[in-house]
Amino acid sequence: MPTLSRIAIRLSLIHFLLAITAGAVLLFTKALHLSPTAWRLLPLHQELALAGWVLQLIYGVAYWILPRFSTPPYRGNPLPVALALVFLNLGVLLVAGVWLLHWSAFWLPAGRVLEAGSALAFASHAWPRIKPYGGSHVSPR
Amino acid sequence: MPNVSRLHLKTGLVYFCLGLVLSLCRVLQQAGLVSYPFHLWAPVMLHFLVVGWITQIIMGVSLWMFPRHRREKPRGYAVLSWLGFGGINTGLVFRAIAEPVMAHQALPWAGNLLILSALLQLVGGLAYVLNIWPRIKARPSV
Repeated sequence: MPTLSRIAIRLSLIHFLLAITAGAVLLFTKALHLSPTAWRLLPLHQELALAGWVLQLIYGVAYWILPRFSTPPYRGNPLPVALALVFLNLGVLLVAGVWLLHWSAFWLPAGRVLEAGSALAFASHAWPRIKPYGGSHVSPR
Repeated sequence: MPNVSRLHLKTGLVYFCLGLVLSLCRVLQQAGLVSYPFHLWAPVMLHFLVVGWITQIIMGVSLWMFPRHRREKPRGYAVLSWLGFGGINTGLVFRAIAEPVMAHQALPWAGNLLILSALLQLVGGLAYVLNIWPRIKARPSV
């Protein structure tokens, strides 16, 4: 498993634990009628579960298992994947800051722009690797 | 494919179908074709799809396909795998029972079941992460 995949999958597992912890707090709030301010965790819970956990795990596993090229670098240029991971985690962090720490609302669209940039960066990497196994495609540098 | 992965994948498919059926019921309610308040099931429907389906498929496939842990324990600790499966699924079922009841009327037993559901899912998720973490590595162990 390549280093970038290991980083992405480990980060996704951390996001998963944070997401289910936030979810547990929300269920406790619902069951015990705790302070309604705890509901501020709901958008954070959704962000961590969908972007931080599911999306990041997909990045990590796809970089690992998509068909490789016949010439080095066999997995293509790793830079877009590294950028995708940085953008995604920064995006989730900004969105979390807005919902949890009352950061300026400006950071919410900024976080979404980073997440969209992350998707574009990852797609640009993955696109040429979506090909038949054993194909003779030369790695784009 | 190990037993726990097969069970994760098959249970995941069941949740996928149930999630879509609940989604359809909600649409039918919105269209006025059924009177049962399926909107109370909206959080359950979402969690059937995101936890019961997507997360469970991830758990099953990763336990099956990630690099092996050690030669003598290729897929990690079986007790953690089963704790992960049991925690997530029992927690989700308890949630599906308690949450619509709580949305309708805050009954103490439903509140307790919801708390138990949260704890079970937390324990299940933690067991899965502890089990899969050492398998995120460069090469399979020899």
